[in-house]
Amino acid sequence: MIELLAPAGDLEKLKIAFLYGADAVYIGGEKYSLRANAKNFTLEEMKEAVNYAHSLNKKVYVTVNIILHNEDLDDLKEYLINLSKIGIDAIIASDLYVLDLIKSENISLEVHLSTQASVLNQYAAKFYQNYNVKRIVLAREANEEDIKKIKEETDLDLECFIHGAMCTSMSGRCIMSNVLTNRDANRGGCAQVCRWTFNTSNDQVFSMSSKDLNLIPFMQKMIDLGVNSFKIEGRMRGIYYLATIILCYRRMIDKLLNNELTIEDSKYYLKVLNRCANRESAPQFLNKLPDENDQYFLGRVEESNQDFLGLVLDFDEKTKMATIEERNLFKKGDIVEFFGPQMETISYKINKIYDADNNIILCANHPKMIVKLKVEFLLKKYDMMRIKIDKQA
Amino acid sequence: MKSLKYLVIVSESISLKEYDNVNYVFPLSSFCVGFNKTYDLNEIKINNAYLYLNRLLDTSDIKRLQEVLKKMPNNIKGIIFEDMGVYELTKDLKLEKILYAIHANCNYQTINAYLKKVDSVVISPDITLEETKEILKKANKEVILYGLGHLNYMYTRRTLNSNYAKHFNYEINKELNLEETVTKMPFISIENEYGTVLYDDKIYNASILQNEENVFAFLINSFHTNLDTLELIKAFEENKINNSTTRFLEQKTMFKLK
Repeated sequence: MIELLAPAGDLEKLKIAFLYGADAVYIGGEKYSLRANAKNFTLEEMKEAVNYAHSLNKKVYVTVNIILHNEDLDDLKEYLINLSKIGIDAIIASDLYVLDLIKSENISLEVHLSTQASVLNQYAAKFYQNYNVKRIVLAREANEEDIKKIKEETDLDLECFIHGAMCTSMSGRCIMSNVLTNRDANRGGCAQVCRWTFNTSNDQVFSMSSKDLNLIPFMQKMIDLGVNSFKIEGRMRGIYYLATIILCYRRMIDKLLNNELTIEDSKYYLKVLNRCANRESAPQFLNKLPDENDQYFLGRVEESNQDFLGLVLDFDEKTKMATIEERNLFKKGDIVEFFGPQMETISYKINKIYDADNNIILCANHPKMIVKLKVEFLLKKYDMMRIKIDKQA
Repeated sequence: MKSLKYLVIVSESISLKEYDNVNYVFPLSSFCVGFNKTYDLNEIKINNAYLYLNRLLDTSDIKRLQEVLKKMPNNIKGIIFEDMGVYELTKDLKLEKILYAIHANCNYQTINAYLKKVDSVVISPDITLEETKEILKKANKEVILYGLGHLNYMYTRRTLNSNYAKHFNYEINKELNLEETVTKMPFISIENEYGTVLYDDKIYNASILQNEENVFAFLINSFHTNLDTLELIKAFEENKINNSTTRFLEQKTMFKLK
């Protein structure tokens, strides 16, 4: 069993993540989380999230992964006890005080070591194992040999990022944001200065912006090495991104485990993933050191994605009418496709669009406007409509 | 010279004269980033030297380190390190062990947690004067302050200078002067085969803390200063050095935008 672990920035995203196939999600509380400016979860919302997840036999991990300053210490113990009472499945932490406190105070929490600790070798892994760490989220810089050795020499669960944005630096080893914007990177305020540009004495500006990570070609290898959890990055991402990424990986993992994943499948899913992201992606560190081809050189090279056309809010099986909330413009004659967790992706030509009052209109062009489409196949709430992505290259 | 104790990180500008209150810290070859010159064990002749290992180590590095530890000479007094694997490998050796987890030691409880294991900890220079003083007051053992030297703001495993040069067909320069395009703030980018470090162009100066108690030593980084030991110590003690900054000592960071 390999776990598919997805980010969830709020309750809606958590539900989408589970619906689209995540086995577990990681979320942040209002304090102590490295996404200080995401919506994040109150304790009450966490409780609801945990109850919902457990009702599906799925898991919720809570990030407590900032670098603590003196002013962050006072409420920490109470917060950890509250997390324990809520019944979360684990916390993700790297600060040694958090680990030490849980151990010394016997707080009933499973601990996963955050990638902020940047563990790359079995001795570092053993150090943290002595603090009752059950799982390590390995450094994104870990290569095959590192994963193999840590797995062989410890009985720790290993979690690896498999998809999403990369820090240019080793995780946690960067305070460029602090210097240039006064926003503390290691307490959740990172301004992503690694996406900025720098003058040199040469004509061209210096840039260090990394392409994203994707490890599709290495999934089987990672399973063979003993990786227990594939992690997707992106607690600040929207529901379309989450649904698309999770569903692609869910289907690839299921096919892999059944020895059914073909090269054509992988190419198709890679194409879908690449369309969904706003940066190109690469395997980064697993099989070689990243080079000049794995980064950008002209500052922010990010494309806005307008593939997400609509969210299915309802489907009337008798009338075959789907109620859609518009997200990007679509019009009569467009060829689109629907996808969802319970369906194969299906192409569809838009012949008629009805507004909320059942008047025929030519296009849906207002954000979040409600329209209806007559669709001859079954749809469900939270299925999505996007621009058609050809299976052929 | 006052009776303060100094750990001086060695670079080309240091002449390695012995002083009662100075121990030299040698960036160890294969285990450091951010230095133009690193040192093999057999190059370190001075007594009571410390080794500096500021990299995060992968499996192949660990194998190499195990070989180094087998040959550890008697003149090595201690090690300063970032990777906890180094602690695990050396915990039973008679070496003074000092943790410098560069951005991670920002509060007294975390530092005290580490002090249960190691002999001392370098307080991260990313925090304010008040935060530093509170840590000094509440630390369970004497700790180390980063006293003087360029601050390391980013460490990456990527060879950024080479990547830049290869992409634009420039000659590879292991040391680049950078200037952020909007703020015009200057940085120094130093690369070796193990990665790249971005330093502040200015020299961090924590002279203001020199009379504090519970300080085991001040870490003085000579790299890129062109100053010898006594010049560095004088600059620190007299609070007189060109192109210097107190940076975060007087600049509190924020993280919530709302």
